[in-house]
Amino acid sequence: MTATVPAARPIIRQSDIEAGVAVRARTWLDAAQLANWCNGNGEVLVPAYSPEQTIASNKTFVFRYRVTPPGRAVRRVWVLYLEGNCALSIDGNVGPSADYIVDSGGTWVRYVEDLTAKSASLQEISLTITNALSSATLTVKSIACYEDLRIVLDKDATDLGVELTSVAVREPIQENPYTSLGGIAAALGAAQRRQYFNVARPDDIAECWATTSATLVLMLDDVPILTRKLLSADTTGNVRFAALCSASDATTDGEIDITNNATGNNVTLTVTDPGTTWAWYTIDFPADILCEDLSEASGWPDGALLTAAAKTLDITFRRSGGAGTFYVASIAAIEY
Amino acid sequence: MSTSNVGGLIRGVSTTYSDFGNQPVRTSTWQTVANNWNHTADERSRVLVCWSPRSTTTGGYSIKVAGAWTRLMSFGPFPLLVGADGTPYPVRLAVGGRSTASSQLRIGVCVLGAADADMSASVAPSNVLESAAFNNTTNLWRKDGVVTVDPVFQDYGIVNDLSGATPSTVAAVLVTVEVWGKSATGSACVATQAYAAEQVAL
Repeated sequence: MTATVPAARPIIRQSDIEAGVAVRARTWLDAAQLANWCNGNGEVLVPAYSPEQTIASNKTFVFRYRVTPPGRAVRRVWVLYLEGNCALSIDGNVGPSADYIVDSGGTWVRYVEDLTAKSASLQEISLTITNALSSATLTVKSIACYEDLRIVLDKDATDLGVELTSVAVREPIQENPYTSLGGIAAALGAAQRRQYFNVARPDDIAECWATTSATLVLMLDDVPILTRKLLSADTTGNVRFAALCSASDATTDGEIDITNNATGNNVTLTVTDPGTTWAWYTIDFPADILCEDLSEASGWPDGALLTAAAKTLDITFRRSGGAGTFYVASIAAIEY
Repeated sequence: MSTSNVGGLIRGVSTTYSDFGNQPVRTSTWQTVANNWNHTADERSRVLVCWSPRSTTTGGYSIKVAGAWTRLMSFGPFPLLVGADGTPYPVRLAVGGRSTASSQLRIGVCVLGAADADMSASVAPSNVLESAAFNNTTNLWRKDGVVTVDPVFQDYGIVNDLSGATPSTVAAVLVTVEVWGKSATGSACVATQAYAAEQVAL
């Protein structure tokens, strides 16, 4: 009696469901398995990127990310590609740190966090990398974090797993939670969210983005983005941007401008008096960023990223008030 | 290609199980539920890599040797979603960079252990995209497209409960996203950006 997550995605034959015709148990089994497949595969919380960061010996840097997980994961997996003849330790938010030896030829590192609670709230996750005293300089070439897949979902209000035996041949249609046809419909209530990018530099004012310029300067150039298509007529989706900001004093303000190259539209995240303590600031960019086109093999509207209509964002920032330095350590784009 | 009849979600269906018990439910409601699950699965795909330049002319990683395909970046490994036909979801890719001599970039999705052979092959295999030769000092996207990966399953350890409880092993298609470069001049070719995302197959 389990809500098993299949390895491969089923497809429900919608033509099997028509008025006046009995629907095969197989159709409902496909539906239950598909529900479990959608809800049992984890989200990528930090799409891989390069912080283009070196870490000197005996130095620790913290990379901080803003995420809204779907809320069913029990394990987070961090995967990194590192270069340098180094001994290092990696720590996350949950569980113990782990030590690694890497070399200058490049080493893949996998660090797991076994979660103690499921959470679907907007939250910060972080990765702390410490390069040992005797090490050479460490180059952090890539970082990514994803939620590990599940093989069995719980039959509860969090996982909304559907009991597969309840849709077997000759089983009656039941009226119990997490079973049968009602369970399949109820599982549609499970959150599905896509994380579009999550780029963090160390939360160290010597290493993060910093500016004293009153005019906009580049943070990230030509960032590809395609939102999840929701309704059939949708051509755009909603994206929430979150940035980790601070300043060198209590009176310096800043702005982050996000321009959608596909439309020329932009939003401006205004950060007023952030002070010297890092804090997250968010702004929504509704119904402007292109969504996937499922009639295209690539998903890109009109077929490719590299067409005349760029499907990218430009992100710039400036000091908008005061006389100090405006800092940004991290910026994330999340479906909402 | 969309596997749902309408190519999107249909609103208005209850997600309370008891709304479907002890009472007649219209056929159209069940058609909607089926449509919505198919579309949810179509759009279950994930962004695997999103690395963009912080400057239009600097940053990135350069090759260290001339005249040979050389690894510039590696992202992952990730377990890919597996589609209804047993093959992984296709991956849309893009790669970019700059160069001070004629150079090429490759981006590929490689099963664990296959990257060196796939990325350095004299002719790019079907899981690898190769840019045209370029000689330009601005960080730009140079090549994009879609690739598919052979369904090579490997043992992958997971846990099934909180706090690391109930460990088990599943079969998963584990891949790295690789960026390699080649130039007649050592260090001339610099990779500055890469993108990879799963995509439901046509």
